[in-house]
Amino acid sequence: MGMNRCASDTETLQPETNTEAETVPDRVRAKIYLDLWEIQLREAAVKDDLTGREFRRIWNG
Amino acid sequence: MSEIPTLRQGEPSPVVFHLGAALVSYSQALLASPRASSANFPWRPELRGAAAGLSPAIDRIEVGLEVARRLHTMVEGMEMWQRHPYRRQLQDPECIWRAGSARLLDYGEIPESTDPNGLPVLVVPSLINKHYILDLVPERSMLRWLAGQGVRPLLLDWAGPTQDEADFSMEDYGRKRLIPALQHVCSMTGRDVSVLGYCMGGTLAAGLAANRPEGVANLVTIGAPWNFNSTVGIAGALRAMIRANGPEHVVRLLRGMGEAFGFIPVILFQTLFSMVNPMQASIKFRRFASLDPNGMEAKLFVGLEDWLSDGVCMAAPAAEDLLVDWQIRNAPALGKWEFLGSRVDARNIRIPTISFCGRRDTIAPPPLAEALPQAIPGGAVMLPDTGHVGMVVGGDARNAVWKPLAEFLLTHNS
Repeated sequence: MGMNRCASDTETLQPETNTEAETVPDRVRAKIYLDLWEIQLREAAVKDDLTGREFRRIWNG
Repeated sequence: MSEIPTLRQGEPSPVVFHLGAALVSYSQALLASPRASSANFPWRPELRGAAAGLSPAIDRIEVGLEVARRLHTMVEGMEMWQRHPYRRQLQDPECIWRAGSARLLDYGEIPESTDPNGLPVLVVPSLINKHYILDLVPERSMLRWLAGQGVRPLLLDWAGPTQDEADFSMEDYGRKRLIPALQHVCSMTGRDVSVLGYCMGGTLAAGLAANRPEGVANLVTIGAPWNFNSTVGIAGALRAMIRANGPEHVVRLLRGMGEAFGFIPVILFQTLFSMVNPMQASIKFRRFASLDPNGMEAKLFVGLEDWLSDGVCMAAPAAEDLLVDWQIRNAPALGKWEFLGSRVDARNIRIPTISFCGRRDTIAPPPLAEALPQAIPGGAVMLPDTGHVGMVVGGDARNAVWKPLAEFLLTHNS
């Protein structure tokens, strides 16, 4: 399983959730993660309001 | 020995952008993956439930391998498109009128037509893509289907600007191409005609109906942009950025390109469209790679990609009107668009009007397109659950758009 999974306090505190997650192989979860990532980017790219004052401040330096 | 089909010339343009966008996006995903299951990870609310299943942290090697698979499959899909043997077979119908490089194509004369003298409809496509998206393949041809319903579509093919149109503005296209085409159809049929505009062709058709309504019986728009101030996402960000720095930079850029090339190259528009949704190429070419290459869906994909890569360049003054006057200054919605001799006020459109605004349209989303029928007294709006191109060529187009469109035309056949 994942090399980033080691010695996590969260894992110790939430055994039920993690036990459930461990039944799904990392390869499958990597696919799910990238599917979600693609949706996240698409939705932001076409729907989010990126025109606010904060963004204009960044563009204008 | 079977003949080896020639590879397509060209690419899913701009291919460097598509590949670069995918590489950068997936690299960021790889870097962020250890935090994907954190409560602080900024997942969109609707994704948080699914993202909860990413705990404990995923092995980053597996994420890297999946990134590599996706990039590989994306390129595989692009290559599959390039070597696919399908080529669009449909021939344009008879040309009944010409002005410069523009032509009027008569769908009343095709075999599918049920009435060569049926209800005349002048069809106005976009200036920056070829007309044949409205007649892509027999199974998904909006114009051939309409011709089978007693309608006589007369398609105005603008064609790419040649010497005749190199200095054309929108005003020139209106005065020297659109009005003469309308007058020709009126005189040939002896009656007023409906005008149907797709994409920016719908915006031009609305300008015509507002300022030169003589001969126009009804107005139909499909995915026609109007209120550019509503633009959100990356397109909205680009617009705000340009507005903040003053549109004169874009004016200089466009005029410089016009002087250097003689026109505005199509790759500029293809890049702008790609920027609106940078991951789209990766997703659609991976999906294509999974299709049966001999199936109908694959053929449609190839036909559509061929059309997308077959865009037309634009006369520099017309591009300035589109990108600066419309997109940046929002002249149409503000009532400041000068077309056919005066400012266009949509409230002056007094003919029956219906506008189709796709709920999933990312080129002219509902807030951008709905503003037009909302400004027209009595203007009707339909919101099909489709995208911009899907409204004219998608699997649901017939029920969601073509049928209500034909019903509207035939009901208002005065």
